[in-house]
Amino acid sequence: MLYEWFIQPVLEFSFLRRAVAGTFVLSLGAAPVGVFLILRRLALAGEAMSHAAVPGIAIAYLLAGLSVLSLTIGGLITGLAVALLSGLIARSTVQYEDASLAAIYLIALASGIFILSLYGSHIDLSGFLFGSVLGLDDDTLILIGISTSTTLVALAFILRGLVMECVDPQFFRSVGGSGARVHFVFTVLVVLNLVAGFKALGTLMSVGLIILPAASARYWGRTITGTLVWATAIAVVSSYAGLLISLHASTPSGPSIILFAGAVFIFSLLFGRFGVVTRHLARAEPAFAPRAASRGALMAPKAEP
Amino acid sequence: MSTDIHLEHLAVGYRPPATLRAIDVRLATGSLVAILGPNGSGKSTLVKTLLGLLPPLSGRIHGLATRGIRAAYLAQQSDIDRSFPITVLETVVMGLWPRLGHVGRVTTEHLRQAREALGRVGMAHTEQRTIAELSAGQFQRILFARTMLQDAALIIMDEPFNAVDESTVQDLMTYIHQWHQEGRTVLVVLHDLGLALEAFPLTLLAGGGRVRYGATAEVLCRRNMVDAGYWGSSSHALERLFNEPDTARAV
Repeated sequence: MLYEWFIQPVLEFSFLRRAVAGTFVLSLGAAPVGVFLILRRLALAGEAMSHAAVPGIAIAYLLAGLSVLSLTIGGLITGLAVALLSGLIARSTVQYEDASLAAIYLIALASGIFILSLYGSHIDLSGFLFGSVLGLDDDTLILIGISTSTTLVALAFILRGLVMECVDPQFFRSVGGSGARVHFVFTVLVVLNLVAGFKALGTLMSVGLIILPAASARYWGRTITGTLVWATAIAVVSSYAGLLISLHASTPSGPSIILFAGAVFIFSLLFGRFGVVTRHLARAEPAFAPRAASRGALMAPKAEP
Repeated sequence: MSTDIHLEHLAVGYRPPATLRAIDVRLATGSLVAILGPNGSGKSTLVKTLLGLLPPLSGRIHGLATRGIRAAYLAQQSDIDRSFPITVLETVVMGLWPRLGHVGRVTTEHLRQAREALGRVGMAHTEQRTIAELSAGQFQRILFARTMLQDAALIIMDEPFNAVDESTVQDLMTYIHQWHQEGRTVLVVLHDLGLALEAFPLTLLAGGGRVRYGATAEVLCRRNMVDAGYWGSSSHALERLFNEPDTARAV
């Protein structure tokens, strides 16, 4: 029974094997990127960047057709351009960064859809927006592989600087670190992972595999290493579970993956190690070791994990 | 060769007009200096300029970058993200960045040094806890341990005693005095005038667009304090400081 439900379909259907391989590898890169996106308080910026890549992909499609390479380059260019542009607008005008991001990504998303529908009414728009994880071709799998390899190698290089830039940016600069450089490399990785996930999960939901597992992991991981491991595990499990559910219940596969990750998030929020219910029970238990006195709570309002 | 830090006609600020200008100060090697001034007087701006985080608007700083002296810097606690999931030991190891860089391996010797620094500030038992679990005073001790690990000739601290209780301040001051005795130059931004008078031989008073530098007791005269803009904002503290409530009000 278990075998029939969990293992057999993957052995039986090659399209499912490709989908599992694609989403697993995607998870390995997307989840760690998501953890830092959240810890840098850029979750919404990641969301915006994913929509921002749409016009680039649309234009690349019109120019070069369904070539994975040109679609990727197009997505990378506009995604990065929007990330840098919104930062520039926020720094040099009165606009807040989130507002300028929101404004630009709306323009980008609308123009992307506009371009697509203007020139190619035969395009499968829902596949574009919501992905087709059961139809991953070789090129897409290779793109995902390259994206994840690049992400893991680059993260290994900037990890220490990225952590320091998050925790104590002034200190990082004072010891000669370049926060701007670290941030740029990280932004490239975010866009790369978004674009790599477009074919599988669609432009609207590619960011889901980045944000949701990472957000759930915050309720489990105590240290940065733990959080990264939890996020990756949750992403992998969500991918597999979502694919199986979509197969057995005939639901759309991309949304099934993201919805499962969403269910994990709600479960973690309630019952994770730092979840609402868990912490409430821990407080009710008198034997629980008292926390350190909260002197200076005003200075560190976010002191509680 | 002198390793003094010489500020020559320095003007600092984020953009013109300068917050502080015409700064001509020679900080002798091994000085222990309190940096005082009312809110918004440019203390932090000056500190950031000394650290090289902010370019001077005009003038020069001799003896820092030219001799490759890198300061150990302790930012205000409010600038640090305490909710980040990182352990105490990992935080202290950050102090080794100049030796490690992005990819240098943390050796057992590095960890031993980090643990030793933690032991010196009495926080050895916390090494596997996360920084979110510490009180403000405990966290400040951790940051002092990180500063020790940096082993820098120049140490600059921005309001290290904010939100820290009295007994912790006493402890932290002993580390500062140790650094002083080891011949390091230590600059500390402070709010507590009493502490400056008590424990800091030299004071750099910022306010009113300029700085006054010298022996603490001389710099903190009432005339300088008024010029620096202390009056009004904290006249009550001043009255207590000078024990002359009636004449003070008349000024």
